[in-house]
Order: sequence, then structure tokens, then C-alpha cells
Amino acid sequence: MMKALVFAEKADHFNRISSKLKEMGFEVHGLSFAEANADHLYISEPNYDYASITAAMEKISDDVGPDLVVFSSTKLGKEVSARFAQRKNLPCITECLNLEVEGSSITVSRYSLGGKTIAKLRTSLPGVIAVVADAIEPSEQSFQMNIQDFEIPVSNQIRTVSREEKKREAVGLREADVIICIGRGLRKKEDIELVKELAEKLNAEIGCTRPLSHDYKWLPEERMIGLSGEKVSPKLLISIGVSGQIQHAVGIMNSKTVIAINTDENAPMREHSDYYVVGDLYEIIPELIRNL
Amino acid sequence: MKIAVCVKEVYNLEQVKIIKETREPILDVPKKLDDLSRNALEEAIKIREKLGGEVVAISAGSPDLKKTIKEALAMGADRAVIVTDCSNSTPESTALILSKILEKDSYDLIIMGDASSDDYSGQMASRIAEILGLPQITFVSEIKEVSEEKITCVRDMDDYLEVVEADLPCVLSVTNEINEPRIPALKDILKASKKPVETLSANDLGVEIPQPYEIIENLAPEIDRRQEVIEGDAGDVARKLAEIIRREA
Amino acid sequence: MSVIDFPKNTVLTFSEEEELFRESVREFCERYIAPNWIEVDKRSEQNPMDIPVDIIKKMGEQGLFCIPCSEEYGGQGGTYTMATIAMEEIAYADPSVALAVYALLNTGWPFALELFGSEEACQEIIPEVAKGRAFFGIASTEPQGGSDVAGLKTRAEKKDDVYVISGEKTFISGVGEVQKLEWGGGWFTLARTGGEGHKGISAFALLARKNGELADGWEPTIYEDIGRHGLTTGGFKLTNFEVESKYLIGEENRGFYHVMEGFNLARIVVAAATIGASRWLLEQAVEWFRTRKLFGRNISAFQGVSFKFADLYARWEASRYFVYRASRLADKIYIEKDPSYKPLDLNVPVALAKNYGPETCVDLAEEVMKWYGAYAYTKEAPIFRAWLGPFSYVIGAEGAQNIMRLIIARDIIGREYLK
Ligand SMILES: Cc1cc2nc3c(=O)[nH]c(=O)nc-3n(C[C@H](O)[C@H](O)[C@H](O)COP(=O)(O)OP(=O)(O)OC[C@H]3O[C@@H](n4cnc5c(N)ncnc54)[C@H](O)[C@@H]3O)c2cc1C
Ligand SMILES: Cc1cc2nc3c(=O)[nH]c(=O)nc-3n(C[C@H](O)[C@H](O)[C@H](O)COP(=O)(O)OP(=O)(O)OC[C@H]3O[C@@H](n4cnc5c(N)ncnc54)[C@H](O)[C@@H]3O)c2cc1C
Repeated sequence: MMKALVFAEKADHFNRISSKLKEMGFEVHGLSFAEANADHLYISEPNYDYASITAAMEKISDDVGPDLVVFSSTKLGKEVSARFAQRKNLPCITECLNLEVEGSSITVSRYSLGGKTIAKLRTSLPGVIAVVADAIEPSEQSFQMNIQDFEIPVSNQIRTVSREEKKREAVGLREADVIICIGRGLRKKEDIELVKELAEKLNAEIGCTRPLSHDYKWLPEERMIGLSGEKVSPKLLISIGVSGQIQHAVGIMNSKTVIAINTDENAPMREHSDYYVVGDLYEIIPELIRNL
Repeated sequence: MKIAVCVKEVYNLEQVKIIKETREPILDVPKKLDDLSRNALEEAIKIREKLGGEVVAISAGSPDLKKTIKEALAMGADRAVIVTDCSNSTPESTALILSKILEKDSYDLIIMGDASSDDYSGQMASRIAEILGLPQITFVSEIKEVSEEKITCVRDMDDYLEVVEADLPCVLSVTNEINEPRIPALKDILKASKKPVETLSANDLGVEIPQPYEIIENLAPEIDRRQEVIEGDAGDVARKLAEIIRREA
Repeated sequence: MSVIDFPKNTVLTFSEEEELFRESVREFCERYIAPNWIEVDKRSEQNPMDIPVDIIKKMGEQGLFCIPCSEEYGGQGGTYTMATIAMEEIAYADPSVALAVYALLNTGWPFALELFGSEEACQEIIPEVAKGRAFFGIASTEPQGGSDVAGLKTRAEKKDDVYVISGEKTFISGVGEVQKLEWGGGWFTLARTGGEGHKGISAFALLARKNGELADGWEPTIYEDIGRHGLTTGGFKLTNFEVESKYLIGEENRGFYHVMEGFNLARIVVAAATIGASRWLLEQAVEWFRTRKLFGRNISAFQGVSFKFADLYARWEASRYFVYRASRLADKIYIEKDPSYKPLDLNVPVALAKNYGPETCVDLAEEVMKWYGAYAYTKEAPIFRAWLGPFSYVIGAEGAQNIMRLIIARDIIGREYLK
């Protein structure tokens, strides 16, 4: 049986990835910071230092002899996957959305050309990949669940002076049935109140484009939808004042129905909409609230 | 302070169009210096402005690099070393080639973008640091302090912000929030053509380009939306929308 | 993303440096000009003295003024073609052409100053203009008419080491800017030092304000223009205005010849600005054609629309050739100093460009407004701004269109056959 070795700093990511690997027939080994689903799991104290984790994965990999080493494609995961792959002189593919195994090779999909296309790549094993864990539907699998403690070797290539968790609201974008997504069509921060009123009527979560969260800081980062943010799959997504650039649009492609409101009758968003309203959000939203 | 900046040429993605029928991209568009490479260069130039020294732009790519590298020189790199015979490069091969060039000089800092906006692979800093046996600080959103010996940076990670320090030499990757890259002025552009560019081939460097994977396809995702346009008086539009929302939500 | 895929061109080609420069100007304009031009036009329409000083300063820092002036005077050390490229791109980002005209006046006239003016005047004026701290344009037109330059009446009397100037100038760009910018500025100014006719005219670098200090004997007025509001037009009265002789440009009584070379240079970049604005208009048209449907089809399916468009597109491409032909020729004469080309060789090429570029732009704007329909007649649609701004150049700024025709006819048919 082929063996896979997994590292994910978040148990939820770990479980999504391990269930997928199990489904594909791998024996799953892994390193995690909390209990998670695997056949053989090494649990250690949390550690966010690339050098230490790379060294730990090297050690475990030397013991296990995996065919495939899988990381969660977070920033930490990408950083470690590449350093590990280089140390082992292996190919590595990050940001994988999908994976399939065929004999001794693996096929993955990932965005290419800045999100304009999806590339399908095949590489032979052994190899390293970093997977976007949220893109995987978790499935019920049974694991041997041999668990042992592990001590990650300490490295001090770089020294951490301080670490501060980002203040995060619990945002339920991924679970939401209705999402209202706002973009730069909104003129000022105060206008979000108008959108909130609509969101309350619809029991919707509010998401946004990158400029609103990263440039203007009107909304927290975790509300950003797109290539570098959340990928959402609501029943209904209402997109307001969003141009629909591909880096944003890839985040909404799994929505069942998309409505967009935009003054520009030809914005790229049109192509990504089921209903495309040409009009001014400041005229339409108040009317819409009245009609709901 | 001797700083190397690894820069990448990318297709001008805004101009890449998709053939509707086959969903294939049309790559017959000009190349340019990647945006994140420009963030890296900007940061290197700022350090040079403070501490003095040299900024060297290093790149591996296609023969078009002879032209695109001018953008880096115009922005303010003092010279460049380019490898122009690796159009079909992968992170694996690029890391090998860039490291070969980097080994030839002793750099205090090696800076690059945290990813490139075309492939978003994000492996380069880790791979190069590993090959050269150097520490790495990735996803840097701010350099707090830098001296000839030591650097202190803020890293912008998924869930946390981290302040870390490392001794030099060190490899950095920067996020696009770190700065707003300068736009070269005419004087800088005129100066750029006089700056030295060393052009090498992978062969010169003794690197065999590995081809660790095969691209099976590269197509635009299928978009299959109704695209029904609704126009008119705000009141009518709102009534229609309310109906659709009630049906779909 | 650009709306139109322009055809490939192997005749009108640009060097690597020129392309890089175009890209850098484009990027600057996308960041600082395109998002603001409508606001600037609206604000200055309310109050002409509401001058976009911040943008001018930024443009100065980016090196968009005094492009062909030499670096020793604080210029950019570029070519005239580079100036032309910059003006095309600035006007594409601000099709009211206000900012492009600011930039082109402050490129063409400081360069003319460098060609004929004294070392001292250049050292003093050009660096400030280059930084966006001073304005330097042209003051030729007078109340009795602009086209007849040789008939001007403003007089300059020499007294010891100064010229004492009295008279009136009208329709002069930059009268507000000179008062508002940090340092000040003035004009390449014509006044009569000798007898009647073109051989009695001299040119002066007349500074109405320098180092923040207004000069005596200068009384300005500001007009309310119908377009390109971001740049002021005004007039001024000169009463015993004293100009030191170091500010005499070139030789006494040869001002007419010097200014004609200056006009040739300025007209190239004027035409460049109008082809930039036209490119914006063409894109507005194409975007509209691709969305607007009437009688069940795109409006461009009607040949009455699409053929008109094709004609105007052809005129635009032709204008571009005229403009760059003239700029390349200017480079031969003034930058490369190739002895096989003379300043007079510019007359016809420049007149073609200045005649064709602005007229195409204005005709195009008018058609685009009609294609857009009633919406274009509201102030919400910005197209009229790209009509009224460039209109200044068919009315006569930097030389009336008929004067351009006169130059073409005169030089091609022969001066003696036109008498
Ligand atoms: C590597 C990379 C990754 C990226 N990742 C992401 C990502 O994950 N998520 C993301 O969102 N972006 C991402 N971006 C940025 C993305 O390319 C776009 O710049 C961004 O999505 C644009 O945001 P926007 O639609 O809000 O703004 P704009 O593009 O400015 O669009 C605003 C829209 O509002 C419309 N509008 C204006 N006024 C009104 C009105 N009164 N009523 C109705 N409509 C109006 C306009 O017509 C326009 O279409 C990424 C970019 C890069 C390079
Ligand atoms: C916005 C704006 C900015 C300006 N800025 C400046 C500036 O900065 N400096 C400056 O000096 N001037 C400036 N001018 C003035 C400009 O140079 C004059 O408008 C121009 O020279 C024409 O002069 P005029 O308006 O007095 O018209 P006139 O000379 O009176 O001409 C009126 C009409 O007669 C026609 N005409 C005149 N002579 C002939 C002829 N020989 N053959 C055939 N037709 C003829 C013209 O084509 C025109 O249609 C500006 C004008 C405008 C509109």
C-alpha cells in the first residue's frame, strides 16, 4: 500500500486531507499539533517555525518512507513544503485544488495565469504537494489511529520576537446559504450600514473584495472572497459594486445562483452572474429593502 | 550591503484572452516584470538608500528577459544577471539556476516576492534558502530594522502576525502590502540602458533543467451562468430582484 | 485592459526605452490622473483658480515636464519623441487635455528657451518648471487678434540694462498657475522692440512671479473657459514692466523667427495630446457599440454608425503618423543636430499634425456623443469634456487651423503663388 505523510497545523485541514488520501487508498501518516485522523499520527506541541517543522518532517519521512508528502497550502504549509522538497530533492506543487492518483503518478489541478486558467499537472511519485484543504470535501474514513507523542527538534535559524493572533470575527462565509458580497462600488465605509440592513433581511453573511479588506480596511480580511481569500458556495450570492476580476471571481464560482448589481453594463462580473442588474446600488438597495 | 533581488518576468496577464470555444488562453501577449518582483526591488532599493551598497537583479526566463530586465534596472537595480534559455522553467529548475548565480557572489540579503502573480507557487524563497543553507523570512509585510548584521521583520501569516529576526545573510520574501513600488522616471530609464547586464545560459551554469511534471491541460474554468440582464427603473428592478431572491434563497 | 486590439505596426515603431517610458507614464497616469480628471475638470469649472497643484507637483516629481531639456538645466535629457509619447498618454488619461496641455506647454516652451535663451535664464527657470513649481508657457496673442503675430503691439523699450514693456496679452494659458504654484513662472513673451512687421519683434522670458514674489506692472485677469478647466486661461496688462536683458531670448528683433520654431515644437505635442484624447474617445465608442442594442442588434451593426467610425478611426491613425513623423524630425534637428535637417523642414509636417490631430479629435468627440445619445448631453457622461477641451485647439490655441492650412499651402505650392 502506498504511504502518505501529512503535515497540517490545523486539525480541520489535517482531517480533510487525510480523509481524501485514505479514500484514494493511501496509508496515512502525519504530524499534527492536536489529535486528528490518521493511521499513524505524531503529535507535538504547536510550533510555527519552518526550520523546526522541516527538520521534523525530514526525520519522520526518513522513518516512514512515504510515496507522497502532503501539506496544507497555508502560508506556513507552502513555506515548509518547498523547503522540505528541496531538502529531499523532490518536485513540489503548491495550491493544489484537487488530486488523483494513477499508478505511480499523481495528477493535481491548480490555478494558473493568475486565476485565468486551471492547470492539470502530472508528476511521478515520490513527490510533495500542498493542498488547499478547504477545496476538499471531507469524507468518513476509518483509520488505525496509532498515536505517539513527538518532540519537534528546536532550530534557531530565525528567532521569533513576538506573535500576535489576528483578531478574527467568527465569520461563517463558508457555511452561509446567502452571501452579500460588496466591492469598491461602495463609496464610503458608512455605506456598509445600508448593506447590513439588507443582510439582516436576508439572514445573509457579508463578504467583500480585496480592496475593501486589504486597502481600505473597512472589513476584516476573513471576509475577503477570492483567489487569496475564501472560496464560497452559498445557494445565493448577491454581488454589489464588484467588477468581477478573475482573482475575485474564482472565489464565487461554486455559488448556486449569482445576482450582481453594477453600474457598468459590461463589467467582467456579468459573465459570472445569473442575473445581472445594470444600475446604481444606491438607488436599488433601498428599493430592494422596501420590497423584501 | 549587497542585496540580490530575484525578479520574474510574467505575461501581462491583463491582456491574456481566452478562446471561448476551446477555453485555451492566448499567450501572444507582451511580458513584464511581475508586480511582486517590483515590491521586492522597491524594498531592496530602500535598504540601499539607507545603508548604501549594491542591488543586483537576478532572473531566469525567456529571451524576452533582455527587455523586461530593463524595468528592474530602471527602477533602480545597479546591475543584472539574467539567464535567458529557460522559458519552460519550474520552481525546481529556477531555484537551481538562481542559486548558482547567487553562489558566485556573497550577498547579505536575497529578496523576492512571496509568489509570482501568474503561478502563485511561492516556493522560491524556501528552495533557494535551502540550497544556499541560509535562514529565510517569508511573507514579510514590513522590515522593522535592518543593519549589516541583523534584520527584524513583521511576517503576515494566515492567522497571525509575527515579528522575527535573523542574522544576515538571509533570504526574504515580501508581500505586496510591504510598499508601493516606484514608477521609473525618464531619467532612470535612460540610465538603465547603460547599466551592466550579464547574460548567461543554464548550460554556462552547469544546470540541467529538470522537468519534474507534465502539463496535461491548462484551460479556463467553464463558466455557465444565465447572464440575464435586468435594467430599468430602480423600483421595477427591485421588485423583480425581490422575486428572484425569494425563489433562490 | 485596453478595449481595442490595435493592429500591429511595423512602420510606426518605438525603441525599447521609448516603450518602457510609455509604460511608466501610463502607470503613473493610471495611478494619479485617470481616477481624478473628471473631478479636476468639475472643480475648476466652479472656480478656475482651484488649480490641481498637487497633481502638477506629482507630475513634476515623476519628470513629466521639460522632457527634452538637458539635465544640466534640470530637464529630463529625453528626446522630443519621448515628450510626444508622454503627452499622448497623459491626454489618454485626462481627455479634457488640461493636464496634457499643462505638461506640453511646460515642455515645448522651456525647450525653446533652452534653444535661444541665455544661460542665466535657463539655469533660473527650467529647474523650477521641471519640478512643477513654476509654469512657463507662451504669451503671443493680443486683443487685436492672435493669428497675425507680426502685427502685435506690445512695446519694449530698452533703458540701460532693462527692457520696459507695456501692452496687453489675451487668451494666455497659465495666468492662474503662475500665481498659484510655489515658485511662480511666466512666458516666452513677444514684444515690439523695432519697427512694424515681423522684423521688429523680440522675445523675452517674462516672469510675472518668481520665488513666490509678484512682479510690478503685471495685472492679470482670468477667463471662464468652456472646457479643459484644469488649466487656466487669462490675460494680463503690462505697464512699464521691467525685464532685465538677461531675459531677452535670442537676438533682438529676431523674436518672430524664434517663436515660430517654438510654435513648431509646441504644436507637435499639442497634436500628440489630441491623439491621446482621441484614443480614449475611440475606446468609449467601441465599448458602447459592444453593449448598446437597438432594433434587436448592436448599434454598430448599422453601417451608418460603423462606417462613420471606420472613417474616424482612419483619421486617427493618420494623425498618429503625422504626429510621430514630426517628432522624429524634431529629434533629427534639435536633439541629434543632424545637419541635413533644418528647422524649416518642420513646417509642413507640424502643420499636418496640428491640423489633423485636433480636428479628428473634435469630430470624433461629436460623433461619440451622438452615438451615446441623450445620455451624452447630461453632465453625468464625461464625453463632452473630451470635446470641449480639445476644441480649444480647433479654435486656435497654438495657432488657428486655417493658419496650418496656410503653412501647408504656402510651402507646398510656393509662397509667391499665394500672394
Ligand atoms: C495575485 C492577486 C490575487 C488577488 N486575490 C484577490 C482575492 O482573493 N479577492 C479579491 O476580491 N480580489 C483579489 N485580487 C484583486 C482583484 O484583481 C481586483 O482588483 C479586485 O477584486 C477588485 O475589487 P472590486 O471589484 O471591489 O473593485 P473594482 O474593480 O474597482 O470594481 C468596482 C465595481 O463597482 C462598480 N460600481 C461603481 N459604482 C457603483 C454603484 N454606485 N452601483 C453599482 N456598481 C458600482 C463599478 O462599475 C466596478 O465594476 C487579487 C489580485 C491579484 C493580483
Ligand atoms: C484655450 C486657449 C488657450 C490659449 N492659450 C494661449 C497661450 O497660452 N498663448 C497665446 O499666445 N495664445 C493663446 N491662445 C490664443 C491662440 O493662440 C489664438 O486663439 C490663435 O492664435 C487665434 O487667434 P484669435 O483667437 O485672435 O483669432 P483670429 O486670429 O482673430 O482668427 C479668427 C479666425 O480667422 C481665421 N484666420 C485668421 N487669419 C487667417 C488667414 N491668414 N487665413 C485664413 N484664415 C485666417 C482663423 O483661422 C480663425 O478661424 C489660446 C487660445 C485658447 C482658445
